[in-house]
Amino acid sequence: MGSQWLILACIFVPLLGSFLLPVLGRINTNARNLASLLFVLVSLVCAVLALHPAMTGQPLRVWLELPQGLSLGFLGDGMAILAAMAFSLTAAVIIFYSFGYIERFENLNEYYFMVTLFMGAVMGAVFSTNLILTYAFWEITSICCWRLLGFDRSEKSIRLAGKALLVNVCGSLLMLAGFISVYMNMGTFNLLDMQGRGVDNWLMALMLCGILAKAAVLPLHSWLPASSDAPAPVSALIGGAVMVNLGVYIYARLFLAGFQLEPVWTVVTPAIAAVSALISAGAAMRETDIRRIMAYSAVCQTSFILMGVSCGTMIGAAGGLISILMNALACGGLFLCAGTVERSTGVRDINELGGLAKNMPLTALSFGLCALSVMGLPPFGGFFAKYMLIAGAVQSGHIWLALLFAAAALMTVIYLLRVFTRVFFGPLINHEATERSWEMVVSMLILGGLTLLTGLFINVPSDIAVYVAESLGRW
Amino acid sequence: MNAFSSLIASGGGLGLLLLMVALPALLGLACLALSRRSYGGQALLFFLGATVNLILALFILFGEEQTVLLPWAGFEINLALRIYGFSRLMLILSAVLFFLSALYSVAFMRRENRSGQVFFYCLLALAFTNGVFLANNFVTLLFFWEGILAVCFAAQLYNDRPKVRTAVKTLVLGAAGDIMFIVGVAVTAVQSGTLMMDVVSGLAAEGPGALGFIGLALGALARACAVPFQSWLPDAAAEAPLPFVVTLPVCLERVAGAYLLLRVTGGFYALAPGSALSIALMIVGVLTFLAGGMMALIQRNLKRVLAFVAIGQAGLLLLGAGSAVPAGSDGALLSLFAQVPALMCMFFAAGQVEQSTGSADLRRLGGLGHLMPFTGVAFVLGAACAAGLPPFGSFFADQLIFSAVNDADILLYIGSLLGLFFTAAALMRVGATCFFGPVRLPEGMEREQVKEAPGAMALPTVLLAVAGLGMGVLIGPFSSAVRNVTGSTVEGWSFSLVLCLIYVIALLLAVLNHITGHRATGEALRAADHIHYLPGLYRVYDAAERHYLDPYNILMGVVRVYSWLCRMIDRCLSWIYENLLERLVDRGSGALHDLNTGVVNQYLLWTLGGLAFLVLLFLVLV
Repeated sequence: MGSQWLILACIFVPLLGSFLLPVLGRINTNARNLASLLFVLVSLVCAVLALHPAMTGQPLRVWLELPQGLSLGFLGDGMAILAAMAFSLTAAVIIFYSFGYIERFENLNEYYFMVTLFMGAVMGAVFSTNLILTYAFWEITSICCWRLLGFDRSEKSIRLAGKALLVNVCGSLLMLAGFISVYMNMGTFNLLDMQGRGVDNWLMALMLCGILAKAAVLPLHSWLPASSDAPAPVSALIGGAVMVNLGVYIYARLFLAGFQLEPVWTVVTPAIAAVSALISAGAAMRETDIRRIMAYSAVCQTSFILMGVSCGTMIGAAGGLISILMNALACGGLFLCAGTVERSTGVRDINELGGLAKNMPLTALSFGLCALSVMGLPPFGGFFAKYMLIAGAVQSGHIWLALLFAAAALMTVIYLLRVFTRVFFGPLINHEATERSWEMVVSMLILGGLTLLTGLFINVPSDIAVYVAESLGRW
Repeated sequence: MNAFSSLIASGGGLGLLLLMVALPALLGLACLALSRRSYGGQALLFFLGATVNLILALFILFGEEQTVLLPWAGFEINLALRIYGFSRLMLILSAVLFFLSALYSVAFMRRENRSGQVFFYCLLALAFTNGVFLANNFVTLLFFWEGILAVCFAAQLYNDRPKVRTAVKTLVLGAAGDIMFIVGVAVTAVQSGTLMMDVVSGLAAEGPGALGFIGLALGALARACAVPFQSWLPDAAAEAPLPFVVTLPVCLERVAGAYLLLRVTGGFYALAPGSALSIALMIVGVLTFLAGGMMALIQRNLKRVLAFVAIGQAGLLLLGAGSAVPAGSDGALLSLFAQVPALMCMFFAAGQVEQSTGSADLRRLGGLGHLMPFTGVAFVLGAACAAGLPPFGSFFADQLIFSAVNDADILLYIGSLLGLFFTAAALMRVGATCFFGPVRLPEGMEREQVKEAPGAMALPTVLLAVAGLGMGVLIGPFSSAVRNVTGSTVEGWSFSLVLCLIYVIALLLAVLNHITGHRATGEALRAADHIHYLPGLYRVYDAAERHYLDPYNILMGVVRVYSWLCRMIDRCLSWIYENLLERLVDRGSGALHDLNTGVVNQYLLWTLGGLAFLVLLFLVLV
């Protein structure tokens, strides 16, 4: 078996462990909470341990032959490890944040069950090299997303959760149709056998629909801003840190490490992403609901990443992979900070907020750190990601893409500054607001601090991203 | 000393990197960590940072060329640093100016709050600026370049009197320039095939290369506070702590902006004289020079006047660098050496006036030369240098620039002369109002309360005032020394006597204008009213004073319209998901429901139809 168990543990500890949580919850709620965190931390530790083999050209691989020429497989290559580390790290922090945030809600057994199951499914989708398996994990995340968004059982949230499920499942079904068609053409579901093989444009379009829906890229994005009514950790997990980034990761897995695309898709997909970034950034500049602004921001940033990984250049791809990590940390942090502000003041309209840096300095600090990273200022990690994405667009020969990116990046600065300064500076409006529980404060500070650390030690993620991009060998 | 030298030389220059970039940053952090009660400690650390930086810059000036290359983020994104002629010159200039600024700031901040924060921001800005001059990789340059912007933003947001709007304006305008700078770097890297700056030289500023050139130039303009990135400076000058204003936008940012501009126009790209890009840069230069001078002429706040003069001076740099001829670039560089000390000197004097009288409102100030003679003399000398009066150093630098502009385009030359006229008139107006005539003080303030600046503040002010004069007197050896270090090919002073005469006439007209206006209105402050209220021009001034011409406001106006449009698009898409699709499903299921009549014949018909469809499908597929 060797070290392959690391990959299996990465997936199945949270996936199967989640089923224990409702039982544990009936015995001891603290044990349930800690177990949920522990299961996700196991994924993180296993991913870190699997990094060395991946970076030495011997990625861990689990393989199971099935009848009828079918097979199931998981691969722990650099791309998967980087994504797994980013997702599990951010998710662990978000779960820790939940300890202080979610207690006032009911049905917490279901919450922790769904969050942990969701992370197990995400890990499964990340490591899977089989299209059907990928689809299965993909759908589990959609179902978990549906339950989590409708978690408080209010009529509004159930309706919005239904909307998210509808968009995601419709996209997934189109993607499934694409997968089945690929199987009919190539006779295999194994992604490793498809490396470098061409795929018809209409199949690509079908698969792209699923990815755009999951990544909340225009025109399939509207479920994400609507889902901002969900509890903050749910929004952070789904909108900011994990699920939307998973959509882009799957794009990279399928079309960078898998199929060979027609050159036209190195224009069409980035163009879709650019339009998505521009419109979502524009909407964020107009919106006054802090949670919705963060949701639009997530759409915008995910679109940036999609633009990078789809423009067909090595530096763009590496920039996209680094951005997945940076976006998970920074956007996740912004969602948590927005949730804390809402919890503390009971207000979501930024026009009714002000001067909170006086009463909530640590939240302000965390928000500032995450916002500066998303803006792409040095020494934050977002700076390097922004440069690589723009350089990727320029290298692809489509300078207009780089200019569109630049326009959207400027808008990002404008809308984040607008929120930051209105909520945390100026005269204090919300006098009763204070910092919330220590778990929430520590979680936000961890994410804010990590945005800075990943910038100061950019060589760590960039070494992995560069190795992955080079090993794709298609540039 | 030997140990010091060996540290500098260690690791092929690595020690130098650590000291030049990390030391100011670390000392800044230490200043921040100390509480306000230990002001002595903060001041000592701050001054120590400035002094060590100056010593290191001197070592570099007389040392050998060094390079450092450390792997960083892959894709040739290395932490690459290089010490060579031009960077040496910029390092020593910024180090000397920073040292004088530190001397002044230590005395100034004694009476102000949040001294630790101000010292921290200044030292951090110094660290980033040193990084800019040392960078030998475009991404390293970008890192330090944007770092200066981040410091500038934070310094305005986190201080004793945070000015949120100005801070936002600073970051938005700066980010606009910097994002284009990133595009410029990416295009330049593609054009040259490398990110190493010492390899990139003489690229054609045509086709995609033109975008690379424009991107880099816009980045430089943003840092030098040229049009259209300038509008935050007057607000910041009036609101932010003076040491910050002098150290960042007036000194370090300006020197960094000029450095990049000169490298872009005369190094990375081969900008052809008279080319469209060269003319475009010069047009921006003239607009900046004119806008700065014209706006300075009507301001009522001493520091805002100086801020607009500083903006105008950035236009001069742009004119010289944009001319794309060696004499113009040489003039821009010499102008930088003359104008930055002059601007700093005037700002220092303004700070002394404000701290002494409690006001920078020109309507409440007058005749201060009687009460603060050293400050008054220093201000007058600084103003004379900034206005380009002979025999100050700026006069000679301006001759090179004006000559290059005249060679390029006569209209640009006339515009430059107008800029010169307005700047000189504005400086005369402010100097005469503030330091000459009868004493006028803010309400409730007595003459006895107004005191001359303490020695630690007066000394750097006077030194800076004398610097411009000294440069003018020793212009021959000084320019030779500068040209030796930069490797400039220009020799001597080959400007036309006629142009020189026209230049002097423009200055004399400014004097005449002031005297006439003063006599007509009886007040030095209203000496430019006849220009301010000139038919036609009044409307322009009115629009500018209402901030209609502020590039930031124009940008925000566009943003408002654009964001409204995006919101509409977003709402439409949401409506499709939430209403249209739901209705379609309802209608569809309703229609199916209506078809379900319970009549067997109809069901049979449906079944037959379905079978026929399947058969057809089978035939088509097979």
